[in-house]
Amino acid sequence: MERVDALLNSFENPKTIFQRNFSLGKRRAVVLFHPDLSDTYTLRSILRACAGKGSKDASLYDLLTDILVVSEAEIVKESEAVNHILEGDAVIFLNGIPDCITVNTKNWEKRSITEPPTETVVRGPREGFTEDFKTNITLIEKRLRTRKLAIEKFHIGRESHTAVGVCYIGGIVRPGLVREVVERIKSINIDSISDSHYLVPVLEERPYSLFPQVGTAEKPDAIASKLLEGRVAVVVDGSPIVLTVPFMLIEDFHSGEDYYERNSFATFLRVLRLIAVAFAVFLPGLYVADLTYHYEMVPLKLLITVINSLKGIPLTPMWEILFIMLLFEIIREASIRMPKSLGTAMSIVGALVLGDTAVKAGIISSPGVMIIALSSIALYTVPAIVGTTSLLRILFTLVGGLGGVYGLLLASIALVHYLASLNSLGTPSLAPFAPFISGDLKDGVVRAPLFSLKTRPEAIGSPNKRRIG
Amino acid sequence: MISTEKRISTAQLFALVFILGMSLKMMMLPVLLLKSCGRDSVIAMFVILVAELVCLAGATAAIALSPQKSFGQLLKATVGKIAAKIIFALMAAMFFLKLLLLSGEVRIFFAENLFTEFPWCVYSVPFFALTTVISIGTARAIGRTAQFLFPLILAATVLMLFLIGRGVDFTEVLPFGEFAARDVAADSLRYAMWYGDYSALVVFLGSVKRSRKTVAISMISGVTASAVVLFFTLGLTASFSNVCYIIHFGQNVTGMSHYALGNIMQGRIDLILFCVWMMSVFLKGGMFAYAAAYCIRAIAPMNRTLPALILGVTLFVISCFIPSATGLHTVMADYVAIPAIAFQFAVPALMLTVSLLGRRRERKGEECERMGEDCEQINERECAEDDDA
Amino acid sequence: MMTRRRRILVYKLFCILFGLVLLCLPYRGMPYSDLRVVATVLGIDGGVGEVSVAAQLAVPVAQNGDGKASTVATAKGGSISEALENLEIGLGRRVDYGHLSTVAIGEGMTLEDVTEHVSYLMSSGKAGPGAYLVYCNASKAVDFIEQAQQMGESSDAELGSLISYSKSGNHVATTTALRFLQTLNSSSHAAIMPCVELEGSESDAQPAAAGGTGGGGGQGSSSGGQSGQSSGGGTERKKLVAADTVAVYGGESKLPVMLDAYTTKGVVWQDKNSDFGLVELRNVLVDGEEVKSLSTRITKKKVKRSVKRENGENVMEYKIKMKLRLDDSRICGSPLFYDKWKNAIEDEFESVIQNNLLAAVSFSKENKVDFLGIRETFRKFCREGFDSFELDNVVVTVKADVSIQT
Repeated sequence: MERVDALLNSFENPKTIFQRNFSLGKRRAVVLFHPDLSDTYTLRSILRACAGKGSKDASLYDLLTDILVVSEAEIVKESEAVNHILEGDAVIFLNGIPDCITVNTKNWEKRSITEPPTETVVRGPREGFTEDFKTNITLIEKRLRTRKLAIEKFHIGRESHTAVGVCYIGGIVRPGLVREVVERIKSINIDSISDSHYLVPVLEERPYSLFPQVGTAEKPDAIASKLLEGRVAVVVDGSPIVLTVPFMLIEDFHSGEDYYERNSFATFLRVLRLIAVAFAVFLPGLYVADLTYHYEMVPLKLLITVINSLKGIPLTPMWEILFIMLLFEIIREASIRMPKSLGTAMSIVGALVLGDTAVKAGIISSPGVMIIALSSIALYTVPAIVGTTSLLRILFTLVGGLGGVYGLLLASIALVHYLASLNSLGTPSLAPFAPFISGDLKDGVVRAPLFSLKTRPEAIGSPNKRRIG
Repeated sequence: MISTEKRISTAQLFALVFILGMSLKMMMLPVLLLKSCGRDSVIAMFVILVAELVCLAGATAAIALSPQKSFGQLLKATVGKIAAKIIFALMAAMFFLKLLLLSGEVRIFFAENLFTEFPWCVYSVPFFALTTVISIGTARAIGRTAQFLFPLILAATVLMLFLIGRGVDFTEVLPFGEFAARDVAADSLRYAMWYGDYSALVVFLGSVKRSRKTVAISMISGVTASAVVLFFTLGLTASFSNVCYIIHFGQNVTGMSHYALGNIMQGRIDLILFCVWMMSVFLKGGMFAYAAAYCIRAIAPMNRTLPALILGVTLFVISCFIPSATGLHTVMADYVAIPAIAFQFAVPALMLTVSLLGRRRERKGEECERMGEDCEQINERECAEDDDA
Repeated sequence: MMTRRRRILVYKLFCILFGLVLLCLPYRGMPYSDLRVVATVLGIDGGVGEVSVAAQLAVPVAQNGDGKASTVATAKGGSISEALENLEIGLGRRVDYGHLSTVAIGEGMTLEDVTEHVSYLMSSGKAGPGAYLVYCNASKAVDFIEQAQQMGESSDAELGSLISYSKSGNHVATTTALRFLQTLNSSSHAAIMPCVELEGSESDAQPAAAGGTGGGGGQGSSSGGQSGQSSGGGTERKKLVAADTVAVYGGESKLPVMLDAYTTKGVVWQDKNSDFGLVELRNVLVDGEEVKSLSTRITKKKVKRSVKRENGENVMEYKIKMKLRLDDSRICGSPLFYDKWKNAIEDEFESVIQNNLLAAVSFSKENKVDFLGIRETFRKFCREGFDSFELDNVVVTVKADVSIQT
């Protein structure tokens, strides 16, 4: 068949695709498939089913309705055949009949469903998304067995042809939101998408911002609850991270586990995370500002202790803190990249050699090490924004060292003003605090009992407001 | 018409009114009044605050009655383009001067309380950068920022009130009436630049999501802010009435709370509280900058960045040439007082007038439209009757 | 409208400008921490022409020359500002006064000098309005601070904490820099300053005995604050004693007038701010039995001053209402306590308060120094009385109402 040959020749290496000829009645047929992406066992059973069957003038429709009854098959245009082959489907051509049939024979190795490392829980579901698109979609569908759940699927990437699914619940999602999300995603003209994060810049109103405007989740229970709040989820093939929009900054301070704990404890944890992040960002700057300019603000006993420790340190407080911070960032980066077998040795080198010895040698002071240690540990109470908070604390340390409390105050106001002007697809990033939405506060810093969370977040703008009752 | 999404909420207006009503007046005005009116500064402050509340009532009434159009649109429709531009130029100049005065107060506070060496020329750059950034932004962002920071500012204010209330002997404000009423009034008017801050609400005309309670809530906020200022003035007068010569401007509030607190062993909590409170002053500076940039844009339409940048750079240059903030006070009190008085009352009055006139015009328009529809309906009916016939 | 790219550019420029400006800040603005020292107590001696200052530092530093770590630095100068400047020069460090909790005034300093120095310290921001003022009644302030430092090898603001504690924990008179100046500049033109002294040896260090014979022959007293530490290497134990007596500045005399312990009690009773601490009666006759010491702790104290013009005379009335908790369980556990002793003890305390306060008033009239602020009270509340005010002719009555709790 000439058209099969033409199709095969369109590949850089035609041998990449396997071709098998068979007869369907009197008509000659060809099946094309990708040997690495397709399941040969399924193919064999298809071919066995087709062999010797069919009438003299068998058509694609006959093949579909009489022979491939139980298979996942459909008639598609010839132009789409290549994409289907590259997705692992088998494509059957009948001589003298335009169009072709694709049969789902996809089969490749997948990672099993495991608990995601960034969202571990003590209580609650442990299943997490994998890199497989279908698995991820299935995990969502399994949790939301409703007719209203809709998934718009399309492909992005000229070369990668990556499957993208935009999930939402009809009647709950804000009108116009899905269209905007789809339009923004489709506006990408890129050769390949390796991960869902490639879509983040187009979904953000300020892509250069230090702050995230798109939420991420690795667990289907979290995504299901976000969809039920009126958000839109974006699943990308090859990525275990699912994106959600609109996004509010307070979401980063929430954990999936908050909803499986007693509400009082969950509230305590949320407050703790907020305090920890405030500590992480402001403490080094405040320490530097106080020790450089404002001795009077520090209680006398504490000041005496700190001054005694600072004696003979060759660096000013600002440079000392920045130096310790730099050390920490280097150790952190190295420990992520290096082989696990070296981890223990690295910890010893980092903690003992660099930390203890540097203090003993009088290069850095113990209060400085303590401040950075506290700040660094506090950073990881909200792992989703570690990058942002790490940069912010460096910035605030610089500002505190150069401008004292005056600089810190100005920088804080500038930060709040900037955050106040941030929006995520029409939802204010600082909601429910600015603008203040009293109803949404039940699931803001406080986590009210689940029975009292009667309405969906007002900031998202769902037309279906009631959740309970 | 300003779109709903761009408007500020009544709760944000509450926070803005509180910040406008309180911040600047707690820094130097009580000291200046104490130095010139002695114990009668409390009375002078009371009179000033009442006048302020009258202005606030006018401004919020205008916000409540306005036909959801901006002040610029309403003013142009009322007085014409040229007159509107002149008014905007005067307003821009006034907001500019207010921002300059505010920067002077910031300078005094930090130079005297927290920094032994405070080179203002260098330190003013971050301040003016902040005001410029705020003025480039939107009114909604200012509203949200004020709302977000409001709990912190309120908590710091309440704690300071508590400290002062605990430690200051308020009988020290007595006796009143040592100065003639005329002198007290004259001194109140002399420092007109320090009040009339509610005029900055002009930029929010037509940009507030109104409810039935908008006016009431704004007035409650204004009255609360005034009560706070009055309390601080009482505290200051009670603490320093006999020794006002030792007060250096910026330290007054911390001085009071420090005096009340007494114990330094725990660090200067008063300074920490006051620094948190200072955020309201910075934000107010941002509001003045926004108002000035708004007026400049109304004079010559341009993008948001340019007027804000011009404003920031001009303020920086001018403030670098002002050797001391005390000189700035003298200029403000001696030369700008009378225009400031006029400004304080004229802006709310103008807001109210243009809002009422705009509302009237809109109603007339609606009536005309309705009348037009009625005429059409009558014509159609007549035509139909003719056809039937 | 501005394009997105241009807006980002403007923001970036702002950030760069901000960073550049901050980096241009003068380096002297951000000194090394060990180039600064923290002063907690400042002692001042002398007047215009030659002023000596001594600063007690929170952290020991090596003094010039001898290389020995010390927590006291001294300097001299023509004026207070010059002396303080010389102090920094001598130390080779900048002195931070943010934690200055106490200013000690040396013996014999005149009213003019005290006013000058305290005003300077406050208006320059070196001393906050909450800094305490004390008078060294047996030595120069510089010597006093040096001796106080010798009490221990390292100083943790010993003197400062003593006064702070006195303010919150003892029933003694304290004054802050602001209150001193405020009272001094009132129409009464007088102000008090509590005294501190170092007592030579432990045997000498009696509790601050005070008071006088009360109506029933008892003695009223409230504890003077004290703290002791052995001096380095010496056999003698020094004790820092605070607020047993007070120095009164004002009136016609340039030098302070010293109040005795008995009169000082009167000042303390009428001080609204002294509302905590131990008060004690000694050798008191209760129901015919002599009790050597009766310790009580103030739980509540209210002082009300009212003035009026009556029959052509200025009349001032003190109403002091106190609740005292009895510390001694032997007395309150006695079956006779509620029947007889309680009222007797209350009467005893009331008479002591009356006697102490009236003694203070008499002292004030005799010396023509209105340190109780009587004239100022008339100024505030009775204009008519103020216009014809004469300290000698004021009739002062005291009503004390003491309630003993167990």
